[in-house]
Amino acid sequence: MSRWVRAVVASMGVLVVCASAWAQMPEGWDRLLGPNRGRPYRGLILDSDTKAPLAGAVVVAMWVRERVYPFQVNTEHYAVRETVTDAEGRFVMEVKDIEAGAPRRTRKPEFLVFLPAYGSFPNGYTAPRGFLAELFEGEGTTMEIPRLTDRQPRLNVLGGASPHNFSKTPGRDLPHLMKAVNAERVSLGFSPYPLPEKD
Amino acid sequence: MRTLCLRLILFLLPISAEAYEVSTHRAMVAASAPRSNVDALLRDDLGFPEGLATSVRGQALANWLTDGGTDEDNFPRFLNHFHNPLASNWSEAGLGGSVGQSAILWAQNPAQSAPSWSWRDVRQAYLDALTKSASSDRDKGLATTFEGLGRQMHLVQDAASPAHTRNDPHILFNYESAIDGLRLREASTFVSWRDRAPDTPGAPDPGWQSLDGNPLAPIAIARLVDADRYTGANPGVTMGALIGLSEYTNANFFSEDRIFTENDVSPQSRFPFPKRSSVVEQDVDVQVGGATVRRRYLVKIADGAIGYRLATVGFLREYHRRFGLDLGRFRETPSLDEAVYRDYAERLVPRAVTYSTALLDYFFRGQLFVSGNDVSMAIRNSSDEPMSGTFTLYYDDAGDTRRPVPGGSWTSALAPGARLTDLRVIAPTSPAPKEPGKYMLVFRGALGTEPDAVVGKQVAIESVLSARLLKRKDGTPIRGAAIQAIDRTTGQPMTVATTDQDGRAQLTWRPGRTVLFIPAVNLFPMYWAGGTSFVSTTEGAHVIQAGDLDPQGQVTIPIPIVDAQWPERTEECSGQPQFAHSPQGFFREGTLRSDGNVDLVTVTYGVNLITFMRDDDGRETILCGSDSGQCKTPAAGFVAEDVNRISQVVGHLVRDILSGHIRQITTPDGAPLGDPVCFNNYAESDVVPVTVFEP
Repeated sequence: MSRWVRAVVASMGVLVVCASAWAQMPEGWDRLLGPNRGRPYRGLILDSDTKAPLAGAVVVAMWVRERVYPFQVNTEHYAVRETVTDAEGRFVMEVKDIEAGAPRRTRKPEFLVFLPAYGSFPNGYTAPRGFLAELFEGEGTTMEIPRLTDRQPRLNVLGGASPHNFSKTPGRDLPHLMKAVNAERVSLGFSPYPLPEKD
Repeated sequence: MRTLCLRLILFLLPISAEAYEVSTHRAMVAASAPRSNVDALLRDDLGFPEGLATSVRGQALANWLTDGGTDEDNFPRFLNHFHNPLASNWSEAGLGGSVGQSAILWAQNPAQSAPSWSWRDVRQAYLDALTKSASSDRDKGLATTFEGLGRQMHLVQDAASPAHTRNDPHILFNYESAIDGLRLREASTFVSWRDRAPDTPGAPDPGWQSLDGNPLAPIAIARLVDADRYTGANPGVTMGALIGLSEYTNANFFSEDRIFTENDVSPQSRFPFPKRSSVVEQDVDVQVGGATVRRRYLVKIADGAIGYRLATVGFLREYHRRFGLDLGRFRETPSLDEAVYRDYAERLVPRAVTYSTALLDYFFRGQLFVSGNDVSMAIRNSSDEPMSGTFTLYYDDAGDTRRPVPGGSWTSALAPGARLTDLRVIAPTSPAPKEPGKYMLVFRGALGTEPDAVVGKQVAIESVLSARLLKRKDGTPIRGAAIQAIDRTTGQPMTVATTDQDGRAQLTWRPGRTVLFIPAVNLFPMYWAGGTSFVSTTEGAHVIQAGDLDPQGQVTIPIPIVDAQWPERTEECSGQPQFAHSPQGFFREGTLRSDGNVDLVTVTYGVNLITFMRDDDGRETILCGSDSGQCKTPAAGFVAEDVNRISQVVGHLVRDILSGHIRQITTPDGAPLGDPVCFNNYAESDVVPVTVFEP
């Protein structure tokens, strides 16, 4: 092995070490789970017009983790959970079992709020506006979604709320969302997704 | 060896080469689908009434699309997602020149890996979706088609990521991670970018489909990414609508490690635009951590797109200025902050969505129109491009197995708007179609410059036959006769027609399910039983098959037109029939005798009741009574089967009948001369046999 090749191989070793170190460094963004991990997420879902609490809204949280390869960082599905708002429009999602043991570089969850014939989050909510970095953390967030009467907006919401966006086996992981989405599909003249799905 | 080592090093670098993060891709692909024509095409052309919401293999087609847009970043595919539009050759336009394949070549490379998701592979999947015999295989093909299209859209969207057009294996935090973070934290902002129109109205100009192909990637989709119009010296061209997405991105935006690299020594990282003369410095108030701070930016004012923050000024800018340092020797290092990324995304995300929508529509651009019927069908190329290939009809049987229609394949070249005419379709009957008359027409061949394009169109082709009715006895046409085609499965008439001067009537029919009903050529209704046979119910009626039709699509039916015949007794006094088939008959006839008087015969007939009683089943038909205006012929009690019984007795006339017969000699003035010669009155019942005869 020539000196040049040995130098290249050594450099590669250094690069791999450095690369892994870089990849493990926090980005400076707080989208990774932080020290408060495992605390429940809370929220209140209201009708944006009447301000009435909305019972039965499905709230889905999906976690992805950043998978660090020697050559790239990618994201992959880690976990998903759902809950349903109570008669007062409130929900509390316990996630200790998911977040406490989450691998490093697991991101904070992305949320979906879905109720048939309503705007959803993130597609069609009216409040809160602006920065949503800590959605449903701590004391929780009050979210307002509007009632939809026209078909097209409902179709738009339905397209973004597909259970398959959140799980490969939504019939098992997200039965409430599956039920709600199927109800909306039927209401809009579509056939429901088959249950259980083929895993 | 050196190249190999370089590849290895680049390979091992922790580059975040996923361009837009997968969730961003998912969101952009999801936004593209409803903007495209694909939903309408699925509903109107392919027989999926739920369009993109159609559930296939457990999830909606829209989800298969977004899954593809997401999964295209799987290892190690991302290495092939770069394209430098200024590379001298597309084979050197990928990451590091040739470490990875150019995204354009990758999109058209049928040997990607297992599985391969090249354009050609997606085309094959679409062909499978339209033609595979098992419905599960067709479903798989359809899901694969949409997943593959999602992957192709991903490649187009990557051309709206500066690092991917400037050969920049960017490390750590970058434009893409910033946009994904903003997508999560300012959902409404991202939605506003997603739904915005490109900054150049009409981009991409549809003319991209007609640009000359590049032999390395001959399918026109390459031109969505690189139209070969930006040369590195003409950034203004990138603001036209006819421009590749990578050209627009390369010429107007920086990536993290390719900022003002117009003088870079390496051609792999030397990009002439944007350059320093493209920008001016400008102070802008921005929000940082909740506080408003004034930050100085380089705002783009020339050389293509203008009016946005291209980069921050370098941190050492004041130092450089104070000491008059040469920026060529002492690098200023401008950088890209979140405000810059927002300005970028405002322009790049709309392009990513719009261009990937164009790709989706391009895939489904072929249009077919079918008119006529199975006897004379026409296929029109309703596309804007010529078609040259094979048009094949398929149908689904009751078990959802898709089968080619025997003889239903034609090879032809059709200019836009041109028609392939006078096509004869032999409607399949074995096995019977699930829905008679419903077919899938599939084109495979060259569509414009694309060699193996696939176009599908669900069509309804009515089967039409010409039924010709002739009198069996002399072959003359039976004119003005009604004839019906009846679906034997439902018992419902499909069409009713009347024969013309030539005895012909056009009828829509369903091969293998249709019988012909002739209600009134004879006095009794008849179903054709084949040949010259007829039956009175659909059972036993001949179910028309394609083979019954002659080459002109005609079926000829010779019909015996029959009547009833029965014996009448001659009354001995009057020499006239003893009874008449008439409820209120009267007959008078005078014969001049040689003596100048008249031999006058007068007969009156009356009927209490005449019926016809069939011998086979005893069914009785009342032909007339004392208050009838006239009597019906006993043929009214015939049934269709009787036409096969010419000269046979099929029943009896049962008559309760009266008549009076007088023969009287009178003067020429009518005055009786003496007593009648004879007179007889009859009031009796008689029964006479009725025979079928063919006049």
